[in-house]
Amino acid sequence: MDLARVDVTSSITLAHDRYLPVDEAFADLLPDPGLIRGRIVGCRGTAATSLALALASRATMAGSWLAVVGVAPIGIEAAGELGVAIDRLVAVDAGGCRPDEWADRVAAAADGFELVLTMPPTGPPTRAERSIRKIRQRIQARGAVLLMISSGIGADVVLEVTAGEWEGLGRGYGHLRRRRVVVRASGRRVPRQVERELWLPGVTGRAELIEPSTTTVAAVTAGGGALERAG
Amino acid sequence: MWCPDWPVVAAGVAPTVPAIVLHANRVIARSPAAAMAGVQSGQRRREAQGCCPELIVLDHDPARDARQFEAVVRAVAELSPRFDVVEPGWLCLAARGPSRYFGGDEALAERLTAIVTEVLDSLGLASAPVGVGIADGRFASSIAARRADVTIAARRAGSNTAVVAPGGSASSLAPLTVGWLREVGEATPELVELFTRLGLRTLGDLAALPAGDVYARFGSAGLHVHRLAGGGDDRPPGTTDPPAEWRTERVFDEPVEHMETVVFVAKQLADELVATLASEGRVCTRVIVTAETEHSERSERAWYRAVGLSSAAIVERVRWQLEGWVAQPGALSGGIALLRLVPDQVRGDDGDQLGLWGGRSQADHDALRAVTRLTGLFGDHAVCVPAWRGGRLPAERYQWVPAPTADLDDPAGRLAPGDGPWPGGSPPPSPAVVFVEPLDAEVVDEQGGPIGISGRGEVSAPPAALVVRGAQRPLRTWAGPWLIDQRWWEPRRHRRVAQFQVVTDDGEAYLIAAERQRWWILAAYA
Repeated sequence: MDLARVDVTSSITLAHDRYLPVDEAFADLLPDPGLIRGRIVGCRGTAATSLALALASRATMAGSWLAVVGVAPIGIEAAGELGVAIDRLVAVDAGGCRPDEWADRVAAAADGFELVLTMPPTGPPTRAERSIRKIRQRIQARGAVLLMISSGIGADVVLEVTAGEWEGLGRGYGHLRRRRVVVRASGRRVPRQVERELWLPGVTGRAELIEPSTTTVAAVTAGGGALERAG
Repeated sequence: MWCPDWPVVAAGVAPTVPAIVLHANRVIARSPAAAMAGVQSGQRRREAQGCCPELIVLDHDPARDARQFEAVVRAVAELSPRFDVVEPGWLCLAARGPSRYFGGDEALAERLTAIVTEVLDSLGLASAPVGVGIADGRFASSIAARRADVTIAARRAGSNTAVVAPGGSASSLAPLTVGWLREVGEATPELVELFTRLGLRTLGDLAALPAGDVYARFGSAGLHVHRLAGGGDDRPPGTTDPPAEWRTERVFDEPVEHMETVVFVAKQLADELVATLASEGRVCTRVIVTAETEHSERSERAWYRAVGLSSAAIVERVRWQLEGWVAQPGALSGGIALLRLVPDQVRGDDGDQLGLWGGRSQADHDALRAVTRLTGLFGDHAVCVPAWRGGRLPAERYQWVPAPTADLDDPAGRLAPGDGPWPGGSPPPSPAVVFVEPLDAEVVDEQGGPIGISGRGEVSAPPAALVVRGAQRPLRTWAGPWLIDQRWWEPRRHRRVAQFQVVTDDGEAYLIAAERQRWWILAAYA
């Protein structure tokens, strides 16, 4: 009896200790109120990089550091526009394409930074799984969150951009203004698949939720743009 | 002793040439000719160039400043061993002993000027301005040195010295404006501005207030400058000497030849030292850095910083010292075998020390440690932080710079966008993936023919497809060009780039560019 009670009281922790905050735009999409520490979130589809940066933005504003491992060409300006506090942004070289080396560096980064954004090197899926098991242990021990681009291997939550449509650009006029995307959340920690429409980025530069009432389903053709991103 | 605008002097610029040294897009030093043209310290590059179009802009290179100043420091060391270097171009000497020996303050100043002149002549910097000030305490003498006539003519005539009689510091400071506090780094610009707004225009006004009232209104930072304004000495050092266990040192089993390795160890030692002091609520204002080679050659120097030495500041000073030492011909015959940091003057941390990376939360602390550790594990270039460079192309505006070379104490200076706007850049949103090396591509029209761009930015035909590695991707929409004409005044570095935004038929958007009839993919809106 006494032991059971101890268990209950010790499981009460502060919200901050359990998860990192995210933008309101993602509130409906994620199964939890934020990014649970120790978990892996996969971002896939055309807008995967923007999506991952937007997910990290609120936490960096709240003081967490974001380490980008092996995704060298991240647009720093875009990160800033999506809301990432770029004074807490660090890039770590992944040391070539060897999965072991990559896993070492991601694990080392998870020691010091609460958010780690990475893209797994290409290779046979079994090797990737082994590497990710190793990384998972470390991020769970340190309470970090791993955001993976272009991969859902081993992820607790997978956010997939199933459709993306830019606005503002015509045939020979205008400029890119905002992008309407459909994001689907799935994965083993997501009890029920959820799909939401977002501006990513919206006119403010940040991710914005498109209220379901204003959504015109026909405007977004599912299936378009579900390819892996180039580069 | 103070050499104004040392960074410009150290670069070897003649005084008749208008030149400035920029750091974080602000002028930190200017040559006499630039000063004549109206260039001010703290100005932005644009403003300075507006004052004087033929201005030469030099990069900030603390290592160069330190190397050149090393010779001066060595010469002064023969005059008196009791001195400390505040920064390259500025050193403080305990005058009482030497002045008695040389027969008075004036004689000492004359002697000091002669020594420095000789060194500067041998460095080929004969025209460098030098000011010498003697007064009670570091603050009053620093100001005296700055108010001395620093021109070369005055130095030749021996009138570059300002001597304040003992006990006369308060009266000599009283008519000066409170701006001097900022000038010598004893107060923040905000505090000085506040004083001015409250009508405390001179140091005398400030000194006339009761100390208790100043403390109540402005806290310990206010009390400190109140004491200085009244001609008092710097912060009274702790009542006891710092205990020996606070010193940190590292003996290398294998003598180290690489500067970066020594600096890396210095970083560890500095972290250790600062952490030890911080755990007791103290901060070090004066540190003695000692380095020894395997053949017992030795470099020892005291460094002072009024606001307290953070770990990054200590490392910077170790770097200055080593740069200067290495640059001395014949000074080193082997690798470094020992590095020691001794806190010489320690005071209570009253909270006005500059925060590390803008704040000192646990996350910041962990991140800073991780940067150091990852750099140690994977090499100097393994960890990068963003820094503003400015430009019109996405890959130019912000760049990744290796963390060990970045000023991690000052993220605002590193990241603040300089003068804008940069006309010709593509409008926001910015691309989320910016290729460091642009990807080769081809753009074709409906018939598969190449597309030309006229000098006025008109395309010969609407772009219809983007060809990447042989695969053709039809374009749904496109716009442009945004034309960039860079450095048209320099034939060799002149670039004309036409940027386009395109969306392919699978919904992916790219920023592409044409330069000299070739097409590149610069970035992806991924």
